[in-house]
Amino acid sequence: MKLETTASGGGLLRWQRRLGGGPWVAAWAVPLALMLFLLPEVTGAYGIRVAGTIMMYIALAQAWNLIGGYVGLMSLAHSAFFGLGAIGMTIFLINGVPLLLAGLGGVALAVSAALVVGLPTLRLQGHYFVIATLIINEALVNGFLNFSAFGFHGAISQNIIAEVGLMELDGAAYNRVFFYAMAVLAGVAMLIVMLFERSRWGLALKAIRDAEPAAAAIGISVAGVKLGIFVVSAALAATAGAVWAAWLGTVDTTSAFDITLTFEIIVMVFLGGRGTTWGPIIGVLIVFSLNEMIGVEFAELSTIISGLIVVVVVLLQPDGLIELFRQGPRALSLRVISANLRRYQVK
Amino acid sequence: MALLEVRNLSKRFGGLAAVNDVSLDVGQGEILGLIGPNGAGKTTFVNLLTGALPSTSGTMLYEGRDVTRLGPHQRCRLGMARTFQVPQPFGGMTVLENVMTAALFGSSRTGRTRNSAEARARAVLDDVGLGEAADDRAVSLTTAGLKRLELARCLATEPSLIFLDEPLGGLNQTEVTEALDLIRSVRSAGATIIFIEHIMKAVMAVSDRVVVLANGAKLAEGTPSDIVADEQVQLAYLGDVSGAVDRYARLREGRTA
Repeated sequence: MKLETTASGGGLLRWQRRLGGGPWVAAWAVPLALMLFLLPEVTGAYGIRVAGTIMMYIALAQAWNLIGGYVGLMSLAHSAFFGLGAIGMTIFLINGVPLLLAGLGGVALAVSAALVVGLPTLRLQGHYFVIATLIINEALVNGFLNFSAFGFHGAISQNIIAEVGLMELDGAAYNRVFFYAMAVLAGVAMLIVMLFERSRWGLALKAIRDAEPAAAAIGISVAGVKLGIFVVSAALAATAGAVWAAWLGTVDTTSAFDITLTFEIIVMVFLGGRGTTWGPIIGVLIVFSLNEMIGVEFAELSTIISGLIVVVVVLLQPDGLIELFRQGPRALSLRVISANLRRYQVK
Repeated sequence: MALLEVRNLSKRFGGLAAVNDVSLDVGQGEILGLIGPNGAGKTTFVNLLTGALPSTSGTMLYEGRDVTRLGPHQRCRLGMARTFQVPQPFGGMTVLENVMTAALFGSSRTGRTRNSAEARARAVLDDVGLGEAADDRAVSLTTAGLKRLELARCLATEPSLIFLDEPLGGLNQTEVTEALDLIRSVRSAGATIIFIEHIMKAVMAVSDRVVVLANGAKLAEGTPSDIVADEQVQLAYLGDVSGAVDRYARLREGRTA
């Protein structure tokens, strides 16, 4: 990590320096944004839906990366936050709340859930937290399946196309709007991760991960930092859920709270490299490429094949495929791989 | 008023009283040596004083303020800092970043920017003799270096009360002498020090006052020379040797008879 050594000049320059790339951030960020902006011009309807979904997964993977990668806490609640964003927004929409406010309402619900789970468990050892995050998803699925009030019926799927209110748009423009929304969300998630990494919060996080008692002893509120990051992570996942629900136009409880989503994003983050800025993006892109390559031809085999690939990668490159970019070909050398394998030895 | 007042502090793990009803005062600017045989409860006692462990009963007042229920980070922000017996570097960071993090979050945290924290960290690293190693990775340091890093991180929080948990463990003779000089210079900079150590000679050399713990309870308290002369302390460290002396004497008599 580079430290700021000189007092910085203008506002823009300071932000660029904070993002770690100096003036070079603009050199890749601006063309990338432009490419994403123009992407709908060159892809068909299917392509833009896939691209929008990829953006959603980048946002979700980065949300999980914050708590799971940087803090090292295995949250299994991200499908719950995603679902709360979706279902929460749906309930507010049905009751006449405008779209943006309804989305914020869903996010607020997820933040409250994160506080309920995090406040008591983040002071304890990691296992309690993992169990609590697992339980919250189950509790919410069953709760909402039996929930029937405020015009919302959890047991059936709810149509919110009219309430979202973009009916005058044709299919292509509609998808385009939501692709942009997901791309902005992915960008925000990236920005949050990059700023975290380079802020005092980032230092606090690294300290906690490396030596928790020592972190507390130098004045870092360990439980406070963990809770803060868990809440930010939950809010991001819930926002993705809200945008997803609005895009889909119909929401049902079991697919909103599908815990498979949590496992998918965990796999993506581990595959790419947890606790890194770019690893989760690599993971998302690889999983999507795999699905596109093997999914159509061997639909029934695709889960087995991608599962095998994950196992092999996690065994041989436990720090994620980002190591191939960091170390180059050396990451595949026998020495590095055998050293990686030795990390699994029981001491 | 004492800087730190400990009253009837106890810690029980199930039926075991690791620290049993200990009271003591630490005056401003003092170096208090805390000694005791292995398993006497020294580290547990420090964990209670720094808030790393919750106490079972008793109270702790720091600058007259009740800190008994505060967590370690809150006590640090009030000016109580510690080192760890087994060094706990932030392994993924450089030496400088380790100390800078402490400067950012310690008792002086308000208004501290990254630049001033870095300047502060560099100054502290120079003080403890790690200036050259600032940009090395923390894990690459030797044992002596890691002990210095512990002290640097602790000093960077700008504490007024410092707990040193066995800072000499694993050091060779030269390194011990250097470490003791460093501890004296920290005190002359105005800090109060509680110095936990197994090596009695070292404690006696720097302490103004010594407290002896044995089996979790306070066994003796006094100046270093009082403590050295104390029979109970000798007993705690060496065990009851009188029986052995008698047996040896009888053995000799039997042989000569």
